[in-house]
Amino acid sequence: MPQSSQETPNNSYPGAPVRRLEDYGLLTGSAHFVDDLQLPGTLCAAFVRSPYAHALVNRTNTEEAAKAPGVVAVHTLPDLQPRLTDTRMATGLPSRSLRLDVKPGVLAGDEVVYAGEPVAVVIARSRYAAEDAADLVEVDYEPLDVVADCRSALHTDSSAVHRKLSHNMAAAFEFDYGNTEDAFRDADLAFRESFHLHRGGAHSIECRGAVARHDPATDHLTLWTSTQRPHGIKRVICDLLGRNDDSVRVIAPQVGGGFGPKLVCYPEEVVIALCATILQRPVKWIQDRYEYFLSTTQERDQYWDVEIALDSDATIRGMRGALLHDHGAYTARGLNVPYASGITLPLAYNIPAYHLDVYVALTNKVPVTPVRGAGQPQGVFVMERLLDRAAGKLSIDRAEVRRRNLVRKEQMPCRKSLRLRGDTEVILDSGDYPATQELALKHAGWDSFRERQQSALEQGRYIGIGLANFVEGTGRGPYETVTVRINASGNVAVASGATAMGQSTQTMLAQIVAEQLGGDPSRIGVTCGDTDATPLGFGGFNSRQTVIAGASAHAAARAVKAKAFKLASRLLEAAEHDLEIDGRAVFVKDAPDRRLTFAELARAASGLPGFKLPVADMGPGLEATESVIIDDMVYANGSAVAEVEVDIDTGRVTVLRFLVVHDCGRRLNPVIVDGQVLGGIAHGIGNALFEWMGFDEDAQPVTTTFADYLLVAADNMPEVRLFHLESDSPFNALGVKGVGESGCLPTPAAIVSAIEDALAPFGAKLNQAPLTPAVLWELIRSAPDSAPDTAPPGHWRAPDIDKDAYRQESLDGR
Amino acid sequence: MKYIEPASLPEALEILSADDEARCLAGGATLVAMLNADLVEPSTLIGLRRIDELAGISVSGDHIRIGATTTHAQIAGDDRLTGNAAVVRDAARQIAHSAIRNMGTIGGAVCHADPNADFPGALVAANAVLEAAGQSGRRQIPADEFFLDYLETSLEEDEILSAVMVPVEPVGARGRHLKFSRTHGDYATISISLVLAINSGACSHARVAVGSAGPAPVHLAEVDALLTGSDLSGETIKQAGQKLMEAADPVDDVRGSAEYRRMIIPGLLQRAVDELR
Ligand SMILES: Cc1cc2nc3c(=O)[nH]c(=O)nc-3n(C[C@H](O)[C@H](O)[C@H](O)COP(=O)(O)OP(=O)(O)OC[C@H]3O[C@@H](n4cnc5c(N)ncnc54)[C@H](O)[C@@H]3O)c2cc1C
Repeated sequence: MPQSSQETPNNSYPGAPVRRLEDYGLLTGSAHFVDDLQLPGTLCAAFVRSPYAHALVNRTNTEEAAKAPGVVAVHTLPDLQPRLTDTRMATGLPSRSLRLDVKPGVLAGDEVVYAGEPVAVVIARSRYAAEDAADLVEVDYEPLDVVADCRSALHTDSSAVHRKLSHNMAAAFEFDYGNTEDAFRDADLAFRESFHLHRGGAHSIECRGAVARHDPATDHLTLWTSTQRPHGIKRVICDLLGRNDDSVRVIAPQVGGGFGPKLVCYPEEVVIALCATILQRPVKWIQDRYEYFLSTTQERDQYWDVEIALDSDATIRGMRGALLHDHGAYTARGLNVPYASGITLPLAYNIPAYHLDVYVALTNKVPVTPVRGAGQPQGVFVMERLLDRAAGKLSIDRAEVRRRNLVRKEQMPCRKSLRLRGDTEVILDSGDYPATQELALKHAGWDSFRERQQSALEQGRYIGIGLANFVEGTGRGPYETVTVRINASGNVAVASGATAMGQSTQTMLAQIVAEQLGGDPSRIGVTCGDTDATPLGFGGFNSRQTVIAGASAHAAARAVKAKAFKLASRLLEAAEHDLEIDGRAVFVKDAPDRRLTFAELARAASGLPGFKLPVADMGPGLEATESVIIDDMVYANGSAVAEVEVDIDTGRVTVLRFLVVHDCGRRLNPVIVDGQVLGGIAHGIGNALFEWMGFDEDAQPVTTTFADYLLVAADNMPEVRLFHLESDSPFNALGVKGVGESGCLPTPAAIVSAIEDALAPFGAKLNQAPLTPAVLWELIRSAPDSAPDTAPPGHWRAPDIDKDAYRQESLDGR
Repeated sequence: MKYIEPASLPEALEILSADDEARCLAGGATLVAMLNADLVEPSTLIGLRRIDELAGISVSGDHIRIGATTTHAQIAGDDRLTGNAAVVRDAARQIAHSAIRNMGTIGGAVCHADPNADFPGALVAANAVLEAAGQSGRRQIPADEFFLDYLETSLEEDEILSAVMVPVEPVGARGRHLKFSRTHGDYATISISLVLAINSGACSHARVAVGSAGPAPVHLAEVDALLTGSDLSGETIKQAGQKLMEAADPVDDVRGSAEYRRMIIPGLLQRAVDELR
């Protein structure tokens, strides 16, 4: 156990399955989501969206729409432009690797580059009126050639995603360490595989939405928006609207799920904020699911072409290859998804040499940003599939091949020859990866599976087992500010730039604070996601908040506790080490009647006019604000085993059993950890078998309802067993690591491995996800005729690419 | 748009024939979604829920009468639907999730005539007859002749479907609606509706229809004839499956290619037979 909890031995809150603070509001329906805000006089917005994936916008006629009943305003980009400092939104992270500067527009100007791109906004007295009038906006489009596939986007004869640019290579970069040439030259076994990995969208229950209000008396603009990152949105709005920081407040109310796409600032947020200032009325926009499919960022396609070199005893010598990543039409966040894919590949194993060329291609589709897992599941998938393949070729058990290569406990902390995208080091902090795998195999009955498989086969049933390991970088820095305050009324208030979107962030922070101040976490009030409460902040992404905001909460609570003890020691005339705290009062251990309540202490600490403060060298108030700086990430790990059955008449897969042994360091609340891992597994099952964001050859989205786009529902969830190891992280005081995304990392890899195992009698080689019944059935059917080295579906060979041929260009001609 | 809830069928028929743009609203599971998506813009919605004679299930003589506004959930829960009618109940059970089953009605489902829906094939397999009410009286349409094309039935614009009549005969028969879908609750990729009677090993009655396999349920008299009187051997089923597969004309969509859908028919037919045997 980390130091901190030993100092307060009678406190068991962290580590306990305390009830979530969030539950009352959510279960009674009293929680407020954006759409629950009913400000008097609110107007409603509807957006006119491009029906084309690529077209010139010659002329827009808003006259009819403006005359429609209930309509208050219709705006296009030229209408808004005089009130904007720029027509494009700088929402992406910087990177030297970017070749093309393609920032999304506030609204489309003279060109639309994906189907669903907003072109105009209609503001009306009701949502109905706004939507009906949006149909009356006439836009004269001139369709242009469409880039629908990232594979052809880089062909020299491909048309351009943006007419003003000469090519579609948004970025090119590489990972490179060790000597891959030597590794391959002397290898006993080397082979090459290609993979096609598709992830769809994130599909939180709540779509996006925003409400803005401008107060003319104070010139204060408030935006409530369903976001993971209110501070990031505020920055874009201040910059584009030319407002100073004190005149803009962004609040994320209850957020009904984010899962990645609510990380970026969207055109609608800027437009709604601006319209509220123009119209001097609150303006609301609530996205429907169809719009979500069209205009909320997705993760989509990656093609991999990779080689691995091994010794005959399965020791990995090196890997090399290329990754082609579909970026969509704009840079909405940056290169973090392909970067995370490339860095994840060699994370769990000892791989002496690694070279990966990464090509990031523009397409005429909605931009790509992280979806829970953010590229890491793809990296895990590729690595784990290669190891399965190697096991087959070397006739060594799949688990044994992994065991021989996993980073071992005695290597910890293990410095990898990789750097994070912010150029900090990759140091695996703790964990026993081989033991994690061992435990998973034991619980799964790995060794006896062949017998079970044989007897199933005798009944005509095709079952299979698969294994996947993962290591996930969590807790991205540099900091998240937390303020802890004991108020004069005796309550404890916590505020943080951390932003909650369903991960129980309030409960987490309250537990950490309660550990220091004693008492019941449910009595602690936590304010998240409000830029006025905490001016500096980053928000929720990258499984970071428990690690980063948790560290600051821990430090701030300790500082407040120290102040309370110092003050109480003076006022009670007792030594600090004789004092105790219980969430309501500080008292003398052996004489509990000698006590001061939090209210008494807070009042004493805030002082009286004309009197000296009770403690000379302590500032006023019982409050502390901390921003613990954390540069290195911490690495969670785990092993998943899936058992599946494949119906060979139809290709349908049933996941029979699934288990994960998971290690995210110290678990502050085991119930919340389980909830996060289970949710991630559900998402991973979707990525393995169901979720498919389809586009046709004109880049028109074809899956725009949940009847077409399948999500995992409760009844598709198999029996899942979770087991935990707790390798405390030595990198933070609480010993914690992130857990928000991990469940989806190993899941597709383990399931596809199991399917391949089940279909071994047909010689199936599975190099893609998701796997639909139709794809599997085709493999089963064609098995007898196909040569053993037939290219599997999704096959891609990296073309020769001269990276230097792609010039630096910008949409603004800069 | 007007909304009217007439209390009787004649009243409803009068409104319907007076207004070309009027439309019946049953459970609304499909129609309200279509209204929301601006796919239809009726002038008047005629709510059918107050019309008693359209509601409920009754057994009379040689058939079971299922009123048009009977919900999927009511059908799924009615244990009088046995024998030949069991296939209809089995289909109702597998439609979507319980929220939709509590909302949707058999009348709405068959009048919408989505080829991927579950009832059309089941009604054909059960040799059901659909009763259409018009201002000039009622007519009976065999299920086989009711489903014409994608979202198209032989119901006239001014008619209302009043009931579905499912024959009780053959009493000893058993029915199975085998729905193959990507996930539970999804529309069928292919569905097999099968009614079989087996007497001392030989098949004495067989009727099979395939759903999601074309614009209307695929039903071949020659396949029924092939199975009837046979011992339902693997070879016979294979032949039957082959014929249905050849007759099928499904579309390519997210649930699978047309070819895939056709090709899985024989295997699913075999499975349906195995489950009834
Ligand atoms: C999420 C979802 C999933 C679904 N999954 C399935 C599934 O797996 N399998 C399946 O089979 N179906 C499925 N459905 C369709 C469902 O069964 C609907 O309930 C059904 O198609 C329509 O029934 P309804 O009573 O709601 O009709 P409504 O939506 O009210 O009406 C549908 C159409 O029928 C007309 N109509 C209704 N009643 C009559 C009548 N008596 N006479 C003349 N015209 C009439 C209406 O004018 C309208 O055109 C699903 C629907 C949804 C929303």
